[in-house]
Amino acid sequence: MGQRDVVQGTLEMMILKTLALESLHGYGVAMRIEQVSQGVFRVNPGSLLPALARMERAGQIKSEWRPSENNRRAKYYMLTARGRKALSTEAESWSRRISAIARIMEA
Amino acid sequence: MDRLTNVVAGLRSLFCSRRIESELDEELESFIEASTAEKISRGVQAGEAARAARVEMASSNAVKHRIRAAGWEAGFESFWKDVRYGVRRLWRSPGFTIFAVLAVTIGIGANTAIFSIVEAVLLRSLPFPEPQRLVHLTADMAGTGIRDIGFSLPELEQIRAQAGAFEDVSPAWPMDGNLTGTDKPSRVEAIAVGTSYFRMLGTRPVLGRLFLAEDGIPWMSENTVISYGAWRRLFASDPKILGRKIHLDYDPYIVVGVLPPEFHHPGFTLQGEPDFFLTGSFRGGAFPQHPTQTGWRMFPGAICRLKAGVNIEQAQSRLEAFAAETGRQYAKDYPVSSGWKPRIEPLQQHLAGDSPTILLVMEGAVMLVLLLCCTTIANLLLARSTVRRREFALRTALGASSANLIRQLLLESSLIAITGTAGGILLALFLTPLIVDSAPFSLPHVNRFGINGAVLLFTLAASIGTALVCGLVPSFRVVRCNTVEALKEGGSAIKGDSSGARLRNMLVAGQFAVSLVLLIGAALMCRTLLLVLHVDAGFNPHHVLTGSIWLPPPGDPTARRYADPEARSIFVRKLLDEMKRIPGVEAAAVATGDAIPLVGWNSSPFAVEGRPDGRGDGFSAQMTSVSPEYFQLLGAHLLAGRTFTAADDHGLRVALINETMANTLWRAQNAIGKRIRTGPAESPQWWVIVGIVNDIKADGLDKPTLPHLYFPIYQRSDYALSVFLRTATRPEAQAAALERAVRTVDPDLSVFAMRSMDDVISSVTGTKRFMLLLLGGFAGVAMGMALMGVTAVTLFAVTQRTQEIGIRIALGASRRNVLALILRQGNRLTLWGAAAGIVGAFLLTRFLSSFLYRTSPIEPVAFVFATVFLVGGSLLACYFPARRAVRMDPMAALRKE
Repeated sequence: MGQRDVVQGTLEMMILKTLALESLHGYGVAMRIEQVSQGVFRVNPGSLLPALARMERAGQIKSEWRPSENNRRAKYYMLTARGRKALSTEAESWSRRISAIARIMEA
Repeated sequence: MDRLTNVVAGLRSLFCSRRIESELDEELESFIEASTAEKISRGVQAGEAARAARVEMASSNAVKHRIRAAGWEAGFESFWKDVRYGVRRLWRSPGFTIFAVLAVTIGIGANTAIFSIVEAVLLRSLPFPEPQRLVHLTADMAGTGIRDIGFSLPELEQIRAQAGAFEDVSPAWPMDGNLTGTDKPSRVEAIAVGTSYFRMLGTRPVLGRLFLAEDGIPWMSENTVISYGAWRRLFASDPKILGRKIHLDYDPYIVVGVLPPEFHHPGFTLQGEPDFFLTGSFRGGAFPQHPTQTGWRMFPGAICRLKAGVNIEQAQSRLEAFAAETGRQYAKDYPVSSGWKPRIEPLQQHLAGDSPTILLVMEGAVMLVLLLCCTTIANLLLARSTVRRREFALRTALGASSANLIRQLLLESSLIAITGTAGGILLALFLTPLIVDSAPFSLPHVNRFGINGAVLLFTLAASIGTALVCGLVPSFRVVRCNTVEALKEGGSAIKGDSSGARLRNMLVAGQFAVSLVLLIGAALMCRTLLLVLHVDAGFNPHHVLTGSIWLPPPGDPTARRYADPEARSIFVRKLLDEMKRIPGVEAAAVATGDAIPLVGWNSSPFAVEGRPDGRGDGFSAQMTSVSPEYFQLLGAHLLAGRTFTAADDHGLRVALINETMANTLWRAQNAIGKRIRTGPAESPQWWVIVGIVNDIKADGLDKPTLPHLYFPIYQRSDYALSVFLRTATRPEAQAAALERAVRTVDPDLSVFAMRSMDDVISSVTGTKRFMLLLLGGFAGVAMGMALMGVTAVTLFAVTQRTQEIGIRIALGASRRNVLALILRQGNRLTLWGAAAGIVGAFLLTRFLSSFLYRTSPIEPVAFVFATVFLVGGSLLACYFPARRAVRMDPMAALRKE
C-alpha cells in the first residue's frame, strides 16, 4: 500500500485522536499522522488546515498561539470536552464499521 | 466553544477581517517553515526543501479560502460580495437602473395607494365592538318602486319592540344649523340620534359624558355631545367646555361631552362630519305624535345592532314578518299595494356604497400596471443578459453553478425591487390622500386611510412578486444557455430560442394593446372635457363669488325672526345695500339657495292658464327667486320683455322664464303676458310672465337645459339664500368682506360654502377630470412601459444579429437598408399591438359612455390621434437601438465570428 489520501470522513477522527495525546500545531498534527501510520497517510495542508478551522468552529478543539520549537509563534490546537466526547463516539462507530467490513471480507 | 462563541468568532472574522487574515498568513507560514525544517533535518538541501514545502501547500490562497469557508459568516460574506457586485453593475448602467427603479416605484406606489383605500373601505372591519352585528336599516315601497323612504319614529319604535331582530335601534337624522354663542356664528353640521346610539357603538368620551336614557325627554334634549374636530375648531380645545351654552338655529344647547378623535358617524351625513350630536325622544313639538303609525318619515334610516345569535338573513325574514303583521293591523296606513318593506344590510356594506366596484376596477388596473412594469423590466434584463452571456459563460466555466448565477440575477432584481418599493411607499403616502380627496365617488371615512401593517404586507408581497418576475424570467435563459457555445462567441448559442422570443414579442405587443386602449380612453375623456369646458353656460363665471346663507327657523316659534316673508324681504334689501358698499364690488345679488348655476335642483310642477291642467305629463320647471341684479351680475341677457325691478314686491306677481321654457310652451315671443299658476288649485298663486332670459345652465355643463321659472325674491323667498358678488379682482379675496356685510345686517348669521363660480365649474367637471387623470396616468405608464419594451426587444435583436448585420454591411447593404431591417421588426410588434388595441378599445370604450359628452365611444378622432401618437412613439423607441446597429463597424462585427 503506497501513500494514499486519508479515507473519506476519517481525517477529523484522526485529528481528534492525535490531539488527545498532546496539543500540537498544524504541521505537528500532519507529521504525527504520517509517522503513526508509518507513512501510509500523508495529510496535505490544504485539507488539514480547513479541517482544523471547521473543528474549532464546531467546538471540538480550541487553539492558542504559543512559541514553537524554532522560537516562532505557532498556533497550537488542543481537545475540548466536546472534542473528547466526539472522539469516543467516533471511535466506537469506527470500530463497529471496521469489524463489519472485516466480517464481510472474511465471509 | 458553544454556539455563542461561534457567533462571536464569526462576527470577529467579519469585522476584524484584517487581523484574521494576518493570523491565517502566519499559521500557513509557520506550517511551511516547520515542513521545510523537517525536510532539511532529513537531509534535503535547504532550497529544495523550501520548494517542496510550498508545493505541498499548493495555492495558499485556495487553502485560506477553504479555511474561511468553515465559518457561517462565509455565506454572509459571499452574499455581501454578490450584493456589492450587483450594486456596482446597476451603478454602471444608470439609465437602466433609474428606469427600472422608477417603474417599480410607480407600480408599487399605485398598488399601495389603491390597496390602502380598499383595505380601509372593504377589508378592515369597522372600529366598533362586534362590528358584524351592526346593520343599517332603511325601508322601501316595493309596490311603487320608491327606495329609501325613511322611517317615522313610531315605526322605528315598533320595529325595536316587536320585530325580534334587534338588540338596539338608533335613528340617525343628519341636519345642519346656524351656530351662535361662539366667537362668530357659523354653519355647522349636526345629527340627531337615539339615546342608545353611543352605547350601541361602544364609544367612550374624552371629556364629560355621552347620552344617557334620561336624555330621552320629550321633543329634544338640551344636552349635546360634540365631535373632537368641533371641539378643536370651534372651541379652541377649551378644557372647560363642559356646561358651555351654545345655540343652534337659536335653540339653546349645553355641551355635556366631547367625542374621541377617532370617532366618525358610521352613516349618511350632509357634507362632512357631524359637529354636534343631538338626542331626545323626538316626540312633541314639530314631531309626529304617538301612536300615528306612519306619521312623518323624517328619519332617513337607522343604525341597529342585531340580537346576539341572529344573523342577517334571519333578521331580514323577521322584519318581513313584522311588515306583514303591520299591514294587517294598520291596513289603511300600509295598503298591500304599497309594498312597504324594511330592509337591512351590513353597516360596512352600506357605508361602502358604490365604491367597491370602482375600487376593485382600480385595483385591477393598478395590478395590470405593476405587471406591465415587471414584464418590461424582465424584458430589459433579458436583453442585458444576452449581452452578459459571455460573462455568465465565463463564470460558469470558472466554477460558478447556475444557482449562483440565478442568485446573482435575483439579487439585482431584488435590489431594484427594494429601492422601488421604498420609493413606492413614499409615493403612496402622497397618492392616497390625493385619491381620497379627489375621488368623484364618496368614500366612507369611518376607518382611517393610511399605510398600516396589512397594507405593508400586501406591498411586501407585491414587491417579492416583482423581484421574482423580474429576476427569474431572465434566469431561465441563463440556465439554458450552453456554456461552450456561448464561449465560442457565436450567436448560435441563442438560436433555437424562438419560443422565448415569441413570448417576449407577444408581451410587448400586448403592452401596446393595453396602452392603446388606455390612450384611446384618455383621448375620449380629453375631448369630452374640452367640449364641456367650451359649453356656453349662459353666464360669465369669472370674477363672481357665491355663498350660502341660512335664515334659521328655531324650534320655538316665538323665536323665529324670519318666519314672516316681509322680514325676509327687509333682510334681503339691507344685505344688498351692505354688499354693494364693499369696496371693489361691481355688483351684488341675492337669490334663493337653489339659484347657484350648475349645482342642480329639482323641478316643481306648475299650470298654465287656459291649458288643461298638466297632471300626469304635466308642466314642470326649475323655480328660483332672484333679486333684480341677478341676471346682469351673471352676464345673462334679456331676450324679450323686461327684467325685475326693486318695485316688484307687493304688487302684481311677475315671472321671467328661460329660452327653453319659452320655446317649449309658447314659441318664444308669445310667452310675454301669459299667466301661470303655482301651488294647489285650492289656493292658487298666479304669475304674469314679463320677460325671457337666455338659458343659464342649472344642472351642470353637460346636462340639457330644463325649463326654468324665475320669480322676484321680494314676492317669493325662502330660508335658504344664496348671495353673489361681481368683483374687480380675485373673488375669493372678498370672502371676509362678504361675511362682515352679512353680520352687519344680522350678527347671528353666517355665510358658508363661499367659493368662486370658477370653482363651481371645476367641481362640476370633477368626475370627468378625475377619469381623465386616471386614464391618462395609466395610459402614460403603460405607454412608457411598452416603449421601453420595444426598445429592449429591438436592442436584443440587434445584439443577436450583430454578425448578420456585419455581413450585410460588408456585402454592400446601405445603412438605410439596415435601419429599415431593424425598424421593420419593431414596427411589426407595434402594428400587431395597435390592431389588438383598436379592437379592444372598440369593445371597451362603451363603458365610458356615461362620462362622455357629445363624444361617441368610438369617436374616430380619438382613435386616430391615440394610434398615431403610440406608433410615432414606438418608431422613436426603435430608432435608437437601430442606429446603434447601423453605426457598427462591419469589420469588428465580423471579427466576432
